[in-house]
Amino acid sequence: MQRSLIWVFCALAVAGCTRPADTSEGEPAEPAWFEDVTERAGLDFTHDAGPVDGTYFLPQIVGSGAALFDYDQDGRLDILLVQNGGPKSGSTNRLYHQGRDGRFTDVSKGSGLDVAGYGMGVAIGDVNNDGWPDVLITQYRGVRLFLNNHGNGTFTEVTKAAGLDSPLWATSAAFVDYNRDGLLDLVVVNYLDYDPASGCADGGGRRGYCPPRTFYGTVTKLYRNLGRAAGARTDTVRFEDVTLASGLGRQPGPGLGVACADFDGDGWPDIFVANDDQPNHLWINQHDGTFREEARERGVACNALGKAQGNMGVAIGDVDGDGRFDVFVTHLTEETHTLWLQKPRGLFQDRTAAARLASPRWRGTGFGTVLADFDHDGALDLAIVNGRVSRGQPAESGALSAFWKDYSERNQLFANDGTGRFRDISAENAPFCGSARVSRGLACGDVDGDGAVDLLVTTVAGRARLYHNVAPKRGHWLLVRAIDPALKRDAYGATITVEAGGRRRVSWVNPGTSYLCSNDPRAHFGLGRAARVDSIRVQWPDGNDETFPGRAADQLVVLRKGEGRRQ
Amino acid sequence: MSEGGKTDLRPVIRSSRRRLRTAAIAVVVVLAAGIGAYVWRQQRAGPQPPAVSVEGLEPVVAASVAEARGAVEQSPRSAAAWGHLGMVLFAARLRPEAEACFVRAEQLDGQEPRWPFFQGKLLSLTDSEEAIPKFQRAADLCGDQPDAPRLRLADLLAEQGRADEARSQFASLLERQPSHPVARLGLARLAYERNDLAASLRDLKECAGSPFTQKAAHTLLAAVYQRLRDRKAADLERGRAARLPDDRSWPDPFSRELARLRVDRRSRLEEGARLLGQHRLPEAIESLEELVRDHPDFYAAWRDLGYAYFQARDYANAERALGVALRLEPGAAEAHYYMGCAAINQGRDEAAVRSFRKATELKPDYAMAHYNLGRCLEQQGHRAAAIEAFRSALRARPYLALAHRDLADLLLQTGDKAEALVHLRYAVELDPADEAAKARLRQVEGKVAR
Repeated sequence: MQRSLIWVFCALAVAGCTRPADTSEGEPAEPAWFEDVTERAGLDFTHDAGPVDGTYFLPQIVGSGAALFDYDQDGRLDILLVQNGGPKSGSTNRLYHQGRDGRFTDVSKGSGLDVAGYGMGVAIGDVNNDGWPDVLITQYRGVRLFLNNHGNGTFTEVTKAAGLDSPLWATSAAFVDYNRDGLLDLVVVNYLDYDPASGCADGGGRRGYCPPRTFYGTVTKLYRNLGRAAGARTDTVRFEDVTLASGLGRQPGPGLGVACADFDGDGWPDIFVANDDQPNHLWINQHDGTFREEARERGVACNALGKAQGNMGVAIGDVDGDGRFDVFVTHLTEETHTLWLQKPRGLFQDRTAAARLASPRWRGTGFGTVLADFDHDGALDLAIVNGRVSRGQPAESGALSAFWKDYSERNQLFANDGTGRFRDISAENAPFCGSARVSRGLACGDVDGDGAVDLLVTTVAGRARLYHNVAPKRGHWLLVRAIDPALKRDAYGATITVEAGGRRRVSWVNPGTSYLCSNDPRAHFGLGRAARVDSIRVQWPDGNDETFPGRAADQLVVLRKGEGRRQ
Repeated sequence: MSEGGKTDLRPVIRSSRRRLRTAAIAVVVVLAAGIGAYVWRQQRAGPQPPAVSVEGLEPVVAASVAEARGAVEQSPRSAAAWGHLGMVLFAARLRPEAEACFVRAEQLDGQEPRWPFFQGKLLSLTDSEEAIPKFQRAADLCGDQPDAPRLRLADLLAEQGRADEARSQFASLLERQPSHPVARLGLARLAYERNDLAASLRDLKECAGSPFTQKAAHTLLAAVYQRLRDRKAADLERGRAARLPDDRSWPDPFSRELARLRVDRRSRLEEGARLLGQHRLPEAIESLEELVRDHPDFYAAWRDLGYAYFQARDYANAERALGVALRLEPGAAEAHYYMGCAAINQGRDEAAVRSFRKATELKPDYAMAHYNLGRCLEQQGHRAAAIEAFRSALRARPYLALAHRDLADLLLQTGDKAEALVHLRYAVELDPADEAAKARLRQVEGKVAR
């Protein structure tokens, strides 16, 4: 009888048993690398995505970006955040100035940047070489260019006068001196030939955001900077639309992300465009003002299986330490993000699986992405911000409305082991990865001046969040600002090579990557145990090389063209 | 009875203990029997179909879900009923609920390949690693008839970097069908990935003629030749790939069954669009007429019906359908545009101008509306306005060869030969088959040279 009793109780106990909780997630094995300092820093921006009124206006889900830039050149990064509520919404872009105490003050009012619209991305560059970074904002139907009034906190819009009249839906943009004339030219990636009257629905007939294949793609526009007209004031600038003449206008695509860099090793900047659900474009500079599309030949059009994916954000950086930059592009939850390693120079191979990025702890629809050495061990780590574009399972996501919860996902963080292989450390990084949101933009830079890369995340219909890097056991570092005194500005496109501790590390002055964002223009290096740098070599955008003497690590170095030893 | 006058209570205590024990045993037995009966009934009835929120679902979809759910309730041990409910839910994009049904269906019938296959399809949306064993099971069960599960398995393995396993799956398909173009393409991709360019070339040549793989094969051939530094061959292959139509989908009867269960109006609209794309106009019109009958407030169906009639040169019916579309969505640029197209084909230029103008107002980047507006204005003699319209078309779509050619013609009339020449050159470059543009270019170049 006692046995019977035991049997019954066992049966009851078994029936009541549930699968033990998965302890691999949620129990931090090591301290988090980032701390959310949004409140403490005084960043009170909430994104306006426009009304949730059943129209599923597609620009809403594309989101808006941000810029980390020092508009008043006081040595501290300031923040610009873009709104997407529409021209009549009253929600205007916000400019925040960083004070000495690291707190941000909203200085939008009267800045000239405080305009409303369907704002998408930001590109930062000194287009008139007056020493002050100017601002380009992309939007659904066109772009807007604002010249910086000598750092006094105001900007003047010059879009029409500058010849930047475009009716297209612009997303990411970047400044690049593609013809090496010393003036920053402009690449504007355009997305879809979108018709808001075209409604879409899922298989059950429920309305939803249209997939990109519903519409034709549009062309990426290239504008040549003509400088100012003879006799004109210094605060003017003119651009010529060379989209067709350059070749870029011949192949449309639904573009979302962009990266301008020397992809074929000839010293001239090329243009990579991430196309949503279509093969990417890689426009190779022919040195005569024209470009040739070579994404397929060079291996970055599709993944290893020849499939075009939902390409969105772009990060570039030397993942495997071979001195050549590699390319990482974010994709849909249903796909894998793709890492293309550059090997040999000018050719790329999808090595996602070998890099252990094909089976992360969780998946997401990735947008903004950054390759940076967060823990200063000498190897580039990877951050991705996620958020769906089609309805998914509602997530526990705090402050989000019921509507946006269906689109929220958690971010991801991966640590590079030094050989180009990544370890998913998302679960150990609750502040950055723990909460599901509809994240879009991811900008990086040394915000608090401690030499480590901090992160700024934008979300659809949510708060922008600032994360300070608090990675433990960080190694040594170097931050390099490369300036061309003749042009009075950062040398966009320069390649910086640092020799330290018997290793050579390469980085690029290239703020216009990720997704809809502009990053800190300074090149950052994690140096591991090397407390001293042996030499710094700069390949300037005009092709000249200079070497600068070694120095102690853990400092910001400003290198001026002409002050180094010519090669 | 007892020593020293004491009553002996032991037998009483013993007896009451016995009664207590008997009662306890009886309670336990009853409890156990109750639990056993409950468990047995639960097992017999099986789990209930998942709760489905039909909020936002079209009534026709909700009805098909309810019907499939009813079938499960009627036959809770029927794998087919569970599987069908899973497919209906999958078609309605109710994925977690669909997955639960496929799991149950597989429990009830472990020999049916569809259920692990559909589980694999669902899992591959979120977790490829988990999807792999499902496709493996489906492939083993159906013995490659059809071969869609094994192809999907091979693709996933390749995506996960498990190249050797992927290769063996493709090889197994080739054993059965040596000319299998998709498997051949898969092997070519794997060879390309490991930089075995000779093997990749060999496999690509085998599948470059198949309508299922030709575009992908020529595209990869271009990449292989590029890697071999044979730029001429790479260019040739690139050109071939660009001229080819999209590759046809390899037959996948399981997925086709699923597609047939999509009964919402948007899926029916897509079917109409597919027929239109294949120039099967009578069938497209019939399908769209049926759709607008069922959904008279569906703007997109009226718009597509208008377009279908326009394609069939039935302009009266086109205007009728587009008129309804515009009553439903007055701000729809596309419907205004097609209305303009219908008017222009009936010689009603004024009406066409009004429609095209409206379309460009509503959608400033509407290149074709700007272009056709330019054509109308040109015919009406409004040269400056036509030039502006062509320029607007090119701002939105710089590669629109017709706009370059027609703009060049007007610029020649205004005497601006230099700019006309630029646009004529673009017109010829962008559309080498445009003989009229070529002739005009030769003529103008000759004049400029003189």
